Parts: sequence; structure tokens; C-alpha cells
Amino acid sequence: MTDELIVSLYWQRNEAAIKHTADKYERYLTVIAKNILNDIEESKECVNETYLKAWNSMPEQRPDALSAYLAAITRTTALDVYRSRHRSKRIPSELTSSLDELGNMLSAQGSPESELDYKQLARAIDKYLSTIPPQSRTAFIRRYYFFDSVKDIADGFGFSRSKVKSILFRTRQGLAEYLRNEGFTI
Amino acid sequence: MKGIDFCTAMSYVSKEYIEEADKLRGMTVQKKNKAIKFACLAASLTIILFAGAVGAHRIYKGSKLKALPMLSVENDISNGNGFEGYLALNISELVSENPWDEAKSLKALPVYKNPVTYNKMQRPANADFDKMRERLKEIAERFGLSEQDYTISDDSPDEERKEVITKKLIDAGGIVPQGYFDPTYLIAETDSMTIKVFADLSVSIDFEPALELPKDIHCSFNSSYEDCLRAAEYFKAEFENIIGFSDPIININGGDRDIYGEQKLTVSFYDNSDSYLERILNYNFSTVTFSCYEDEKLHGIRIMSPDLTQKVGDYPIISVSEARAMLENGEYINDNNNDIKKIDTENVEKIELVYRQDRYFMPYYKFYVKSYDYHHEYQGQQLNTYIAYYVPAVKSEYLEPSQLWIGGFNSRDVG
Repeated sequence: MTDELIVSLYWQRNEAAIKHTADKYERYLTVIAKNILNDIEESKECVNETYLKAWNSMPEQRPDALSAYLAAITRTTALDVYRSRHRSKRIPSELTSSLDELGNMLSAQGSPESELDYKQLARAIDKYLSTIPPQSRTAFIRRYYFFDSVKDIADGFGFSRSKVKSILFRTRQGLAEYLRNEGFTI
Repeated sequence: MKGIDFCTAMSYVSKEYIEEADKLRGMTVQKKNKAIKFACLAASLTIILFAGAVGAHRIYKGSKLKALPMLSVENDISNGNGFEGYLALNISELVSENPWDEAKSLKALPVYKNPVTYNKMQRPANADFDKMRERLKEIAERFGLSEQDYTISDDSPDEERKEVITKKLIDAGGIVPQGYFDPTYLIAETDSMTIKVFADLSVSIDFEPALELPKDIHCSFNSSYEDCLRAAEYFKAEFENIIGFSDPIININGGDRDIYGEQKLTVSFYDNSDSYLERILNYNFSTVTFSCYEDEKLHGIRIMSPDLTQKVGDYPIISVSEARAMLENGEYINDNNNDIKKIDTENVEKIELVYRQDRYFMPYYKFYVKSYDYHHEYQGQQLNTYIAYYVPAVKSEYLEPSQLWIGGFNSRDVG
């Protein structure tokens, strides 16, 4: 079933929307949650919650790209779960590896305090991403948005893992410099 | 900013870029390139080091015991990136030249107050810029630079930048907090290097361009122990003045693996001494570390030199067996704050004595406990996870009872 039809089912308040969403996107969403949580049961719960949140948000939302829309919900949900178990049950995952990498470009100083702060930072990240080659941008988004493994990204490009790590390293360094020049405390 | 905050901000990046990347997910392309042997060196190869002289340390005398101030135990191990665990095929992969030897008896160890405190914005609240300036000049001299060769500045933004930042904060409905533009470090730049000195007197030297190494010297993020050792011998000879120790001990340390099985080692030095106690202090407080990246060039040197002038006293310490018993009783701290559980000391595979640097520079026994909760494989072999648990080496009667540090120990409610 096409995404457009699935979205239409949501708008019609037809519960078949959830079944079709699961048929088409369950594995895709589970991978995203598992990248963050590395726990299959919790990941499944996140995916189920994604269906519920999608049901509650459509309408009013009418996403153009259903997969990205659902991915954003799963990602946010899984990150919330990660935060909730922050100190009690941290399991090494692609997220924790990504955080290790990001820790190298971030200082311990300052944190965004409001949604507005996060959006301002995101706008600056957008601007920086618009200046770099699409390949670097895609690798960066895959690693720090979808938390895909370096191996999967490398396989996607046909690169070695070392090359992907190198691309990510340079992108992080460039972004850090750009953000500092823009006045962000990172 | 913590990594998790950055990831939260990533939630708001342009949908266009998310969709662009999403289209490529799940695709696999045949590799065209042979794997490159040495992967990138994470910028995180942070180093420790230090060069200041460590003065003589009086050993505790029983009669002075009661005069020692009580100490608070900190529980801020987390760098925000997960618990302190190490992946390795076996414990022997985790290496260091820690001079502490369980067989050598120690009755007491010095504790120092950390003179640097940080405000709500995580900026140093009481940085001593005079000391920092002296430190910077001293390091520059090691490179043969005179004061005419560089200008010392700091990281405080210029007026134009201040205006931009102020406007941004006001537009966002905020105000500029007091001290927001205060400097946090000093910097000296030349054509070939940048030297930074931070509030804790640690020094960061970055070479631009990075320094070429001889062809037979291989130093990168994933170099083997043998390659690191050869590189260390080269650094020791070539950078003798920079290292600045009378008898530098090579400390190839680390050895844990990432989840892809790649092992990371760091090349560091600390100063030898005839005194066992001084060797321990040098190892913990006085190190120089060299940073090479994937291009096998030397990109930087890190020197950490905490100010040890505020000695609190020489505190009596417990034995390893006493510490082990405390660990078994849940009297430890680690990063799993809420995960108070009984540790099976059968799973302790390594013990070290280390100083942690929080409000105090205090000694702890660091237990590496094999965990059976996490599973990773590397080339068909099981990668083990070793979790670090810290037990204060200072006798508990000198630790603040009101501190509710987690892990069970002292976690009683004190009215």
C-alpha cells in the first residue's frame, strides 16, 4: 500500500491504518529504536507507541514522507526511554557510540534550555549541512539522526569503515567550528 | 553541551536532509576500496599529562589523624556518554604502567583540594589567569619561543561577536547571564602551533600543519601496542624538552575496543622517581600524551597539570582486602547510580589505585568487574565488558556521612 493511502486511512480514522503501517514499517522502525536502545523488547514497545502517536497526530498532521515522519516519532520515543534509564540501565548501543563520538567535539559547557534553543541550534546545523558535500551530509544524518552503525553506512556507500569514520570526524570538526563561530556554546 | 542534547537538536534539522539520508538507508553498495589499515583517530584521544613538580609529601602521623578534615565523596564520574565500561577480549588487553603495586604497603596517601570550581554555566569560577599565563610562557619556552614570538589572548569574544550573541539571546527571550563572556582559557598562536592553557592548568598544544613522522613510525588511533611503543621511543627522544621529565616512563595505556572490535591505545609519559609515592602521584597528576590521527601525523600534545598546592592532608587508607569487602557490600560508586546491586567479587578481574579529580583529588580503588549483561562479538570471539567500580581508599571515618553517594555506601539519610 502506498504511503498516501495509509495516511488517508489515518485521516479517515480507519484502524486498518495501523495494520498497514506495521506491515510496511515495523522492521524499519524497530531498527531505529534498537539503534538507540539495543533492547528488542523496549524497541518493540517504542514502535507500538509510534503507531499510537501517529494515530493521535493524524489528523492534524499530513506527512509528505510517512517513513521519515514515523522515524521521527520512534526516534523521539526511544530517546525518551534512553533518558529515563539514563543512569540505571545504560546498554552500549549505536546511540552510546554516537554520543562518545560527539563528546569529542562538545565541551561540558552549557546546554539548550528550551525548545527554542534546540531549534536555533538545529537551524545552525542545517546551515552548516547545506555547505558540505551531500555524501558527508548523508553520512552525518545517518549516524547522528538515525544512529546507523558505521558499518551500515559504509556498506551503503561502498566505502571502508575507516573512510566513513574519517568523513564523520571531519564533519564533526567542521560543524563544531562553525557553531562556535556562530556564537553557540557547545 | 552533552551529546544527548545535540541529538535532541538533531530532531529539528531539516526534513529535506532526513529524507535525503533515509532514501539510502538499507542500501548496500559493493565496496570499491580496500580497507584502510588505520582508522581515524578520534579527537577524543584526550590526554593527560602534566609536568609540574610534585613536592615532598609528608606521610601521615598517627597523632595528627583526628585533625584531618572530613572529605566528601563525589559521584560525577559520568561524562554523559554512558557507564564506565571497557570492551576487551580479556582483561590483559587493558594496559597501563600504573606504578601502584598491591604488594607494596601504603599506610596513607595525600588528598588535595581542587582549586578550580565551576559555575552554573560550567565555566571556571575562579580561574587564576596569572598562573595560567605563567604556565603558557613556560610551555612556549620549551618550544624555544620567546615572548616576542607570540601574543597571548583568550577565548572571550570580541565586541562584535558579543553583540551578535547578545542579540541572539535577547531574540530568544533571554538575557546575557553575568560572566557569560568571561574568558575560560588563554591562547598563544604561532605560524605552526597553538598553545592553550585552561583553568585547571592543563595544556593543549595543536600543530598546524600536523607534524610528519618518520616512515618507520606508525602512530594512529588503532596502532598496535608495538607500534605505539616505537612511536613513544621516538617522541621521548624528539620531544625530550617538551616532555620535560628527568626520567620519563612510557605509558602505553588503554587497550579497550569499540563495538567494532577496534582497539585503542594511547601514548603517554609520566616521570619516574625513586619514591614509590611520588611515582604514584606522577602517574596520576603529571602526564604528557601525544595525539596522532588516522593520517599517522602528530596533531597535538596534551599536558594536564592540576594545581596541587592546596593539600588537605595525608589520609590513612584501607587495604585492598578491606576495599574488596566494601565492594561486595555495595559500598562503592559507579555510574549506574540507581543500579544498586551486589557485586560478586569473583568477577573482579583487575584492581588499580587511581586518583579521581572532583572537588578533591582523592585516591580510590578501581575494580574492573566482568559483566555478563552485555554481549558483543569480534571476529567470532566474545568481547567481554568490564565495568569500573570505585571504592574510596581513604578510611570511611574521614568521609562525610551526609553525602548520599550512590551504590549503597553511606547512602543513609542523615537528618
